[in-house]
Amino acid sequence: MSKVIYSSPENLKELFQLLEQDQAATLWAGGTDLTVKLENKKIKVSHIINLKNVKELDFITASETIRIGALTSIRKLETSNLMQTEYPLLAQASHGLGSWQIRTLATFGGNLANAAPSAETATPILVLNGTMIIKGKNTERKVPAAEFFRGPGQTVLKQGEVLTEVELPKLTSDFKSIYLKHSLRRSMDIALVGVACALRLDGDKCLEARIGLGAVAPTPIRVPKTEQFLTDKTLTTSMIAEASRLAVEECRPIDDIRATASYRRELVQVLVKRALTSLVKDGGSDENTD
Amino acid sequence: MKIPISLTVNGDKFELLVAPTRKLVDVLREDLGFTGTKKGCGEGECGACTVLMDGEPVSSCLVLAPQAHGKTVVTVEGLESENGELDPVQESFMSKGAIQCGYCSPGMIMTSKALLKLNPHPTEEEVKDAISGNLCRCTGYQKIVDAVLDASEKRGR
Ligand SMILES: Cc1cc2nc3c(=O)[nH]c(=O)nc-3n(C[C@H](O)[C@H](O)[C@H](O)COP(=O)(O)OP(=O)(O)OC[C@H]3O[C@@H](n4cnc5c(N)ncnc54)[C@H](O)[C@@H]3O)c2cc1C
Ligand code: FES
Ligand code: FES
Repeated sequence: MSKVIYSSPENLKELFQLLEQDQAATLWAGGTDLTVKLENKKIKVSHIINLKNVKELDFITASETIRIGALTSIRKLETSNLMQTEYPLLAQASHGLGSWQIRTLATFGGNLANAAPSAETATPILVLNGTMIIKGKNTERKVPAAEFFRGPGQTVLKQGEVLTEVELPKLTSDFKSIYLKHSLRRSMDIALVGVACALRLDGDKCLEARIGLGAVAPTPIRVPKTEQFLTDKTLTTSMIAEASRLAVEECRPIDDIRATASYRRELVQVLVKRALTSLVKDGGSDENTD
Repeated sequence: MKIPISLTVNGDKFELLVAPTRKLVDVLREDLGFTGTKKGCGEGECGACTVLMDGEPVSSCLVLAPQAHGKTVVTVEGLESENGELDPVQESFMSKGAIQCGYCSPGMIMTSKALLKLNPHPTEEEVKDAISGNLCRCTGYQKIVDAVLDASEKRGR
């Protein structure tokens, strides 16, 4: 007979009361990471707090900034018109996560709090300079996405705290963005390497470059030297090739069950090059129609 | 501690007691007898357990039974009409030879239903993308894709 307790708060107030009463409780969103861990006996649970009925955390709103609630499903991010127009890289990354059946259940907050180095939505958030809103019973703090991830499966979240939303500044209309992923299978496989890229372009001149890499270091990372290198450059084929070599130097991949470190380095070079090339092509065609 | 839940499956309301870590797929198959839904990997990888929950395809092996409280679930048994007629998607799967051992079929058919509801006339690429979370070890997929396209054409007529 199971001794596990189950609670299903309807709002944040109830949620924080429960969290205060039981420090050992497990926050359960889509459960797509947790259920698998539970099946494989990698975690023990004594008290499940279902987040899915905390409806106030399920939203996407746009005013000066765009705010996405932690309970927003990956499927919603993938299909939202706002995401597709404002942040193509986040919509594309969401589309690449698992299968339709997984994306219906999986949440944005769960993907970020789970903090896999390969987490699909993490690199877009880094590239978009997102701010994580973290609430406790009587506390609220804002943490830049760049400081949120601490290591594989580790974040700055403390016991009793909940990631409630991510706030994203809008991109000016001269930004173009893309997310590319390479995995062993087309669907349902975590990325061997993921690349999130946003460029502010004037024709084929790069005014600002932001590149995030997933699955090549203990956390998702940005590659500042490569970004610096690209800034104010005309993005010729040789410039792009040089930048993708630089990006390789900035990552620290490991050998694991899916791929060797050296194969991952190859992938970084190929994917960064592909991402930059396709954005410049898009930018160029825009210029022509102006 | 067991939790009382109520859910609607294929139009009928059920009330039962479940352990918090029990999965929806086990409730459907073992407690309620809807064995049409298959369980393959139990880890979200294969899609055999796909059902529609509030109209969206989900891997029922990843859903905690209490999380299905208040939800409307449709399994493959729910596609057949009252007088025993099969759904056009099921007909197409049979006529196009999209079923061999049949283990993946209930999941494939549920995902295909969800796709055709959203997008009545998908392209071949869109079909492949939609069913990419459903593994089949027998057919090599082409006949399944053909069946979904066939079902979509039937709708057009
Ligand atoms: C078959 C399969 C394929 C997958 N493919 C991919 C893939 O391609 N790319 C990818 O990135 N991931 C993939 N995943 C992993 C998983 O689906 C995602 O990480 C998903 O977004 C997790 O969200 P969830 O809501 O299901 O999280 P849960 O499993 O509910 O929770 C994950 C963790 O986050 C914590 N948590 C959840 N919400 C909050 C919150 N608001 N505040 C604080 N902590 C919280 C939980 O306590 C838990 O520790 C896959 C999983 C499966 C089973
Ligand atoms: S049994 Fe659920 S996805 Fe395989
Ligand atoms: S028909 Fe046998 S697994 Fe698909």
